[in-house]
Formats: sequence, C-alpha cells, structure tokens
Amino acid sequence: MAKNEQNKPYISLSFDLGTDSQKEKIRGQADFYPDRIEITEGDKKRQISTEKIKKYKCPRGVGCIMLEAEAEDGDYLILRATMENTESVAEATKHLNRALDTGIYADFDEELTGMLCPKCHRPFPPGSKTCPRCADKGKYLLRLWQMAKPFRKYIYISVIIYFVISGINLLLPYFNRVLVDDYINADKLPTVGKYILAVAMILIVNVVSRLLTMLRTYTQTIASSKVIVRLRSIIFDKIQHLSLARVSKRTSGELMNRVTEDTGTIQRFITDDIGALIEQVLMLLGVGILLFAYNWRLALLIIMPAPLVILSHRLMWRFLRARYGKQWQTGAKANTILHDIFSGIRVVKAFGTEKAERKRYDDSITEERAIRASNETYFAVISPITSFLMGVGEFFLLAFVGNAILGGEMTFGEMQQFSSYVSLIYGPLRWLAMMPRRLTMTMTSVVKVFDVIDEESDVADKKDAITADVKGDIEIRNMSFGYESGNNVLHNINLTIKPGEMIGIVGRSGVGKSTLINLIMRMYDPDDGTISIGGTDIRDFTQESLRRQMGVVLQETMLFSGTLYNNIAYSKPDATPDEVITAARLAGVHKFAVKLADGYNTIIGEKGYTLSGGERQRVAIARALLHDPRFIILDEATSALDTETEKDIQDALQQLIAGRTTIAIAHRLSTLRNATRLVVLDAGEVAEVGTHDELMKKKGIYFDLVMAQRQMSKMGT
Amino acid sequence: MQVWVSKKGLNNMSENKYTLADAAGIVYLDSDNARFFKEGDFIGAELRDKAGDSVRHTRVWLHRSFPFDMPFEYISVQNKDGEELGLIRNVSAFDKETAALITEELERKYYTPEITRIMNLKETRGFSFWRVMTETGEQSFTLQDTSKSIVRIGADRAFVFDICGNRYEIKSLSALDKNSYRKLELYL
Repeated sequence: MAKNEQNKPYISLSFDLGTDSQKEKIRGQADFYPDRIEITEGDKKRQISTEKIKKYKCPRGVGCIMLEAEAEDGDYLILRATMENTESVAEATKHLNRALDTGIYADFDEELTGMLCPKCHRPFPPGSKTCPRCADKGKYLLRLWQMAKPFRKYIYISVIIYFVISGINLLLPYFNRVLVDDYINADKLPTVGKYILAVAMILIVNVVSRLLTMLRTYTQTIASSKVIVRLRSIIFDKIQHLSLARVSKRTSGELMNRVTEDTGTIQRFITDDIGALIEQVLMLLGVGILLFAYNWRLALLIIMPAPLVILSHRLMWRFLRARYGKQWQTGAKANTILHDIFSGIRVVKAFGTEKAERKRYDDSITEERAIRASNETYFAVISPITSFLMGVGEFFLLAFVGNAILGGEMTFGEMQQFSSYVSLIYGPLRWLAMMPRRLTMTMTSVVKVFDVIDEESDVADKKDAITADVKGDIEIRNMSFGYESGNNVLHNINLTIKPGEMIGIVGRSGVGKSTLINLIMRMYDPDDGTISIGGTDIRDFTQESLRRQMGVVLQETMLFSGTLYNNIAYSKPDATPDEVITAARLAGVHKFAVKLADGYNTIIGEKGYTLSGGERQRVAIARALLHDPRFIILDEATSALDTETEKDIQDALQQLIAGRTTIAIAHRLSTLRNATRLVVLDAGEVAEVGTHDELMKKKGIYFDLVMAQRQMSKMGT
Repeated sequence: MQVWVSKKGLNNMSENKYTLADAAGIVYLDSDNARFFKEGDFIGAELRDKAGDSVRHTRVWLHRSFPFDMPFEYISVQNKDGEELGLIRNVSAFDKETAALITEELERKYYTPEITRIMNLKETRGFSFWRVMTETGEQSFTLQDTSKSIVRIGADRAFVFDICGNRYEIKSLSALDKNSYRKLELYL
C-alpha cells in the first residue's frame, strides 16, 4: 500500500457515547487505517495497532451498542454509541471483517443515513421507510383517490346528490315563511287551494330530500365498499408476499388490525365523513350567503359567537378525549386480565390462586368504574355549558329580531325563516370543529395501510426470475446469515447435498439448524455467500417454482378448519380423490380416516374433531406426499410424539422420502439412523460431516451427543 | 435419585438432605472467592471454587438479573460463551474499589438516561414525538405505539423505549413537574 494512502482512513465512524461509563453524550470519531485505528473521544485521542486484531464484533449492550476488536493480546473496546447507530456500526463491522479476511482495504462510502429520515433526521420505525412525522398526507389521499379510479362514477353521483339535497334543504325555511306570512298570518284569508299547494310543496321537498338521501347512501356505500375490498386484497396479498423475517417482526394481531381495523376506519371515512364534509361545507356556504344577502347586519350578529363556539367545542373534546381514552384503556386492561385468567384457569385452580386472581380483577374493574364515574360527571357538567354557549347566538337573534318585529321592520315568517337558517349554520360549524380529529384518525390508518403496501419484500422475486424445474445438487457456498445485523447465526457454511441423499442436521438447540433449512427454502436470503440448486442460485428462481419442489413436515402441523380431505388436498387443491386417497394410504391417514363416521368429510381444526399428535403428523406427511416435491424438509417432524408413535410414523416417512432429497432435523438422534450423511453444526459453523459410523469413530461433538442421549435413555428404563 | 418435593410440601424441604438451592448449584461470588480486576478495556476475574482451586478469566461479562428492581444485586458473571461463572448477590459485598469497577462495567453496558422533564410530546398517526430534558441534556426521540412503549415498574417508576431501542427512565412519576406529568398521564 502506498504511503500517501495510509493517511486516509478507509472507514470513518462517528459515535456519541464515551468508552467509559459516563452518561453524557460526546462527539467521537474512529478512523480505521489498514495498520491502525485512531480514536478521538471528546478531546482524548488514542491509537490501536491493528497488527494483532483477529476479528471485529459489535455486541449490543442495553440501550447502546459497542464495537469491539478481538486481538491476540486481549479485547479492545473501540467505541460505544446509542441505538440510532446500530445499523451503521453493524455495517462497518461487516466491512472491517471483510477487509481483515481479504486484505483489501476498500473505502467504505456507503451512505449510513439509511435509518434516518433525510428530512427531519429522526429514525424510521423498524422495517419501514416512511417517516411518521414527514409523511405527506396529501400524497396518501391522492393515492387513495387513484385507487378509487374504477368506482369514481359513484363518488361523482353522490357529490351531485349532495348539491341537490343542500339546495332543497335551503328551500324549506323559505316555504315555511311563505306559509306563515302569506297564509297563516295574512291580513286576508287565502284560498284553500293555495294553502294546500304550499303545504304540498313542503311535503314534496321533504320526500324528495329523503329519497335523494337514500340514493346517496346507496352510491356511497357501493363506492366505499369497493375501494375497501380492493385495499384489503392488496394488503392481504402484500403480507403474504413479505418475507418471513418481515412478517414475524409484526405480531399477527397487528397484521389483523391493518387488514380489518385500519381499512374499516378508511371505509367509514369514505362513506360517512367525506359525504358529511361536502354536505356541511355546502350548507355552511349556502346558509351564509343567504343570511348575508338577506340582512348582513343580522348575519354578522349571528356569526359573532361562532369562533367561541368552535373553540369551546374543541376544548371540550380534547379534554374528554384524554379522559375517555384512559377509560378505554383501563377497560381493555380489565379484559386482558379476564382473558388471562380464563385461558389459564387450569393453572389458577392447580395453585389455588382464585382469591388473588379475583382481587386482581376486582381492582382493575374498580379502577375502571372510578374513571367511568368521574368521566360521566364531567360530561354531565360540561355538556350543558357548551350547549348553552353554542346556543348563545340564538339569544342575540331573538333579542334583535323581536325588536325588529315589534318595530314592524320584519314579519313573523321572516323571523322564522331566519331562525331556521341560524340553526342550520351552527350544525355545520360544530361538525367542522370536530373534523380535524376525524381526519387525523383516518390519516393514521391511511398511513399505516400504505406503510404495509409500500414495504419492500426483502426476498422478492427478481424481474427476470426463471420458472425452471428446480432439480439437482443443493450447493451452499461460503454462506453467512444473521437475523440482526452484525450478529451472525450461521457463519461461512459450505455444504453439497446430492439428489436422493438424506441429510440429518444435528446440533445443540439454538445453533441455527432451522435457520439453515429456512434459508434453503428461501424464507430469508443469506447475508453473504450463495445457495444454489442444480448450479442456479435459488434467488434466480421464482419463489413459486422453488417451493413447488419443496415439501415440509414441521414439528407442529397447522390444520386449517375444514374437512380432513381439504386439509390433505391443501398442497394440491386440484387433486383427484384417487390421488388424495393414495397419499393418505401411504401416510397412514387412510386407516383412521375410514374409521371416522364422516370419513374424509370429517370436520377438523379448531372447532371440529380433534386429531391426536400422531394423526396430525400423518396428515402433514400426506400433504407433502400429494405435493410430490423433489426436496423434503423434516423439521423435528416426530419430536413431539412418543417413541411408540414415532416408530409408527417412521414407516410413513420412509414412503415420503424414498427417492427424494431429504434434509431432516431431529433432536432424537435415533430418528436420523437412515440418514446418508449427518451434518453437525456448532457455534454457527459446520463442525463435522459424515455417516453415523464415521462420526462415532471420530469421537467428536456427534459422539458426545449420542453418548449423552444413550445415558438419558438408560436412565429412563 | 433424590425426590426433592416431599409429600409435606416445600416448607419441609429442610428435613431433606438436599435443598433446592443445593440442586440449583448456584455459585455466589463475594470477596472470599472472587477477585475482579481491570484488564485492558474490560474486566477480568479470578474465581476460586470450593476445592480451593483458582481460575483466572482474562475477561468476564456481567449481566443484571433484575435491571429494573435491583440494578446492583444478583449480577450474573459470565464467560465468553455466556455460561454463568457465578452470581454476585450484592455489589456492595466487595471492597469499594472492586464495587466501583463492577458498577462502571455495568453502567457502560446499560445505557439508560433519566428523563427529568418532558418539554414536548406530540402524537400523530400512531407515533409520538418527544422532546425531553434528561440528566445529560436535551434529547428528542420517537415512540411507536406509545402506550406499549412505556413500561411501568411499580407505582411510581417508568421506562420509555424508543423505536431505535434506546431506553429512558423516569425515576419518579410523582416527582415530575405538573406539566410534564400531564403530557404523559394519558399513556400510563
């Protein structure tokens, strides 16, 4: 390396905590050169020679992350930083280790702002690239509007209807005035015909208005439900296509919420709120114009208390919302306790803790009662006051108008028309005062929904992914993977699996056995290295064509509620009954299926007939057989069963794996006695590979595991 | 094999030869059997077992068993592979110097600034944005799902977890000024 290059660090990392235990934040920078690390911490400087460094690590503390170096003469703490820096420290660690392994000190220029919003420099929520603070509301509404494209005609129709209804509603007070002034209060009596005509007009206007409202509700409901069906299916589709890593980051409850609750809020907004908004704004404008045209001084008088009304209304709701929010939370807490106790009732009874649980529940409902009572009291006090404030305008009107009538400047009918308008104008005002809150609630849901929709699947199919028949050797080359950046679960794995082989993966729990098979199935993508089948990187296949050749039997078999038949045919919905029965016979399902009163039509799953553990695994095997894949994956397929049942199931499994490439994980090593080769994982690396006999001779990790299990089974007998 | 739980129940354990504590095989560390020392940037320990044999570990890892309730009691001392070498019942069982050494190592691993005042708390669209005063100065952070990100410990303490994984402590809710408390109250 040339001398002048030595003066430029290939990695520079800034950090914000001292390497001592001080809590104060500092400004620090670590510059990595091929031969040394220069660390500036506040005004302290130190230097570490890289000569003896073997490896870099970034262990997490609690609320902070560290960068350490493992050296021949002991460990070094290079820097400490708050959690915002997790991603950059982890990426740098990876780069440092790569440089150490290869001896190539390439500059590390990667932008490390990936975790921060470029606008406000606040961190993005995990797994999202939408800044909750800077998200552009308008953009999302526009997208919602674009999504509604095929159904816009319904929306246009309902807007037109709104215009008509508002117009008609404004007519009503006019007819009332005519009725009062020209007929009831008239100097000379009108003809009965004219009187009836006036009454009939009022009737017709009312009827037409109601009919139009019905029509409007109808079109709006159609529009909103179509938008929501579309939105829901998009989200559902999206969630199904996200990688396992992304999906398991969110709880299933949260995902359910996105699909049902959040879209529900949006639907309510489209059906009720948008319409109401148009209606109220039109009403406000219409009445306002009419009032001012009629008598602007009077109109001003009426409008005067409006700001006060809006303000008091908003204040009241801010106050009440906080209190009702708390009431709702304590209610939810009480429900959780109830749910806990009932679902754990066996434990409660077994330990005789009924009294304690009762007290816990009593306390929580007492707390809720207290909050509820105080809220009701507040509401009872506040609501009449605000109602009064809202009505204040009408008192002004009464005083002014009464005077005008007495002075003969105004007729009784005019007064009635006027007061109708006044009541018409305060409705929209009150409603509009609440609007920002509703809008916020809806926008929360809209942003959450689009957040899921916009999420990029990290195991997406390539654009030019091939749908070829997936077959041949499975080859794993220099593969590393970790769930958290900088924390490898598997490290530098190399393994070749020939067609038709049965590979047993052995190792202590937590060593990465399941992770390895998940990677082969491409539930995740490796961080480094490759996995290929038949010479093609599995990332080049479409996921569908890859998984079509993979059959899986897991420790716990998920049965969907439905018939036994449908549960077997799940892997191949278009299977003929012949195929299903063949698979069922091979897997040993047939013999118990024909003993059931309803045979293959027996409803199983949560509410139906309960299958035993062995029967469930047989169903899983039948499923995999019907799928007819080239590769079989058994992840502790029999470990939840007793040894007797396991022996029974083994025959069914032999039917399944015959002639196929099989990768099996099992705790019980005897389960793997048919394996052609065993792969022993230790500390995230392949420690031993060989047949049972070879590994026993070697007296390594596998030997110890076998001996330990033999010891156990001797104790059992 | 010894049956630990006799018919008379746990209270009568002492009548049996073995107690549960014996069975658990916990090694408690104190100044009699353990010596901690600074080794480079970290700490190491020399531990003596019952037979009197000493083992020197050039680096040990410390872990709090009760980070919220008892930050300086029941400290698990572990080796590189995360195996527990022993448990410190109370850091104060050591001389001042050693206690300071252990305390420093712990405080370095557990970074939890204390919130003394909440200047601004604004919630929009499921996230809340905080500007607070901590013992080390002003800080801003973001919470996702505010109520769930505030964990109460006992009646008067709370921990706040932000979306990056940083944590903050409110040592006494009742000691907060009225304005700060009002901002927080809704989420408690």
